[in-house]
Amino acid sequence: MLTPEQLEMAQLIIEAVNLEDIQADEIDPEDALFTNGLGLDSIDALEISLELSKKYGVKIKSSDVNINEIFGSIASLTAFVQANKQN
Amino acid sequence: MLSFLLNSQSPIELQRLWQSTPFIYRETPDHSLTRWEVFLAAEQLSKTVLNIHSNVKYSALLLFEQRDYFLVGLLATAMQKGQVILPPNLAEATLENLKNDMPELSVFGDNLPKGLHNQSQITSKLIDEIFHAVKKNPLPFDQQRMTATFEAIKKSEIWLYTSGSTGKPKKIIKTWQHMMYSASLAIDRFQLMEPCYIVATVPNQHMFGLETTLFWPFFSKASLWYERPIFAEDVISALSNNSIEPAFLVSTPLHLTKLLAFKLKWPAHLNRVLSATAPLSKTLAEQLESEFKASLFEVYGSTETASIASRQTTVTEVWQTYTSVIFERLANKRYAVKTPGLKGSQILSDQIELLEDHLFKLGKRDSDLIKVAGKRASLTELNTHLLSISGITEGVFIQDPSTERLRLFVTTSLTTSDILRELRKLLDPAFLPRPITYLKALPRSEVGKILYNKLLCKRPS
Repeated sequence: MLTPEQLEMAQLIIEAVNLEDIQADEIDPEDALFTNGLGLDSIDALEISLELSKKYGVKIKSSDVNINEIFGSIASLTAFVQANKQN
Repeated sequence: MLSFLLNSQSPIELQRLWQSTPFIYRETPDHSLTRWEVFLAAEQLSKTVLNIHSNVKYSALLLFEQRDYFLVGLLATAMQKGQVILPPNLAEATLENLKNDMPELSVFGDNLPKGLHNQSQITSKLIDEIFHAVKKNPLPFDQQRMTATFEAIKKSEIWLYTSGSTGKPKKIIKTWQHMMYSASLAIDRFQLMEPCYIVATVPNQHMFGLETTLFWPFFSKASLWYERPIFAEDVISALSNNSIEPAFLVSTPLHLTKLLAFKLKWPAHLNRVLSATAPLSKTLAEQLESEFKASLFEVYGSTETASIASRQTTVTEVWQTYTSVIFERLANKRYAVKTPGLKGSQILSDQIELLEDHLFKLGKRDSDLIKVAGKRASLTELNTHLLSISGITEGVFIQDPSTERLRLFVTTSLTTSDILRELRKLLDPAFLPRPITYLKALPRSEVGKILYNKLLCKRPS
């Protein structure tokens, strides 16, 4: 079950990378986003980072944080954004 | 074979370049590596770790994304007279096939995918320990040993995979000799024998990445950022880490377009952008040049030939080949290309219009071959995979020209998650369809040919 923040994140990802065939509330918040889960790739990650910077003012940078964990799942990405959002 | 490197400078200059000039820049200056340190680390790895495999032909699957680990693995495997395998993707089926062909496959990488858990593994930790040992105990530069080694490994193979028009992944075998000859032409073209700095967003495992992040800088005076930055902030910080001018950003049209959208301030010493793997429009090239305040060059090539030509897209649509690249005219407007180091000649998969010996325009590409995010696949192959899924009545992949992503049109009772789950087992994520459109039947002409123009008008369900 997704929290309201996780649902918002799922919707942002679906719109950002054009996964129109997936319903936000069908996503398991702990599912992997890349490779085996939603099957996103690095360009999707870049696209999602653009949307996160526009919507929340969060700058995603791989060098100062553990990027693989943050992008691990909807749950971890939501937690990171909630902790770091500027607007 | 190394004459292009050796002739252009005195022994003292060569020693300075190899032994004292930073080559791969890492987070802090202490961690930067010189060419000689990379060479010594590869020697060490080859002697102490890889030697145990002397009974079988050594095969190494190189998964490292980081440039320094990858290069050490590449060179150490060659020193071991082994072959390097660069996988087209990490899908289960791909890995299964590789293991069937080469059960003894060693894997260079951390966090291995499930299918590779039982293979022998070389981790980044081990290579870091070797770097540490090499830095602690630096051996003096030995030009003779260096040149003898490159002479000895010239026949060593690097296997890359590309999609053939028949639909099955095709193995392309490159030798160090060809890669080094080819690098010498590009080094000449982009004046890399002058100090410069390269940051690249392309992976080591594809031809353009292999050339621009390994062979070009290793054998020139270009230095290199150790990571493959994806996010905009990381690309900027990688560029800012080093003030050597000119700085090159090596990327793809898709990645560059996304970077543009961030509206960031780009470092002033970035004055060359290289793009390859897909065509770039003149409009986009103009936007990129004005945003980056840099000259944008497109590079043309293929896995078979490596890069052979370039153009500054805002200035001309005509491609200029590197020196020593020769075209041979065949029937049907086709050409074969010959370059130094390339065995025989290679037929180009694009149609070209030859204007003068070294100048040409590009015609149409075989429509079966598509590229998404720099990765090449054949639509025939993708459709074959699709139809291998039980429960799919009929279906086709089509590339959406506006997003570059693939759309799938399908007749099936399977759900979207069923289809995606099955496709994930078979394909690289880049080729997963976005979106999927369900149809009662594919629109076909009287003779049964699929009507693609009708398909593209259909809305996703």
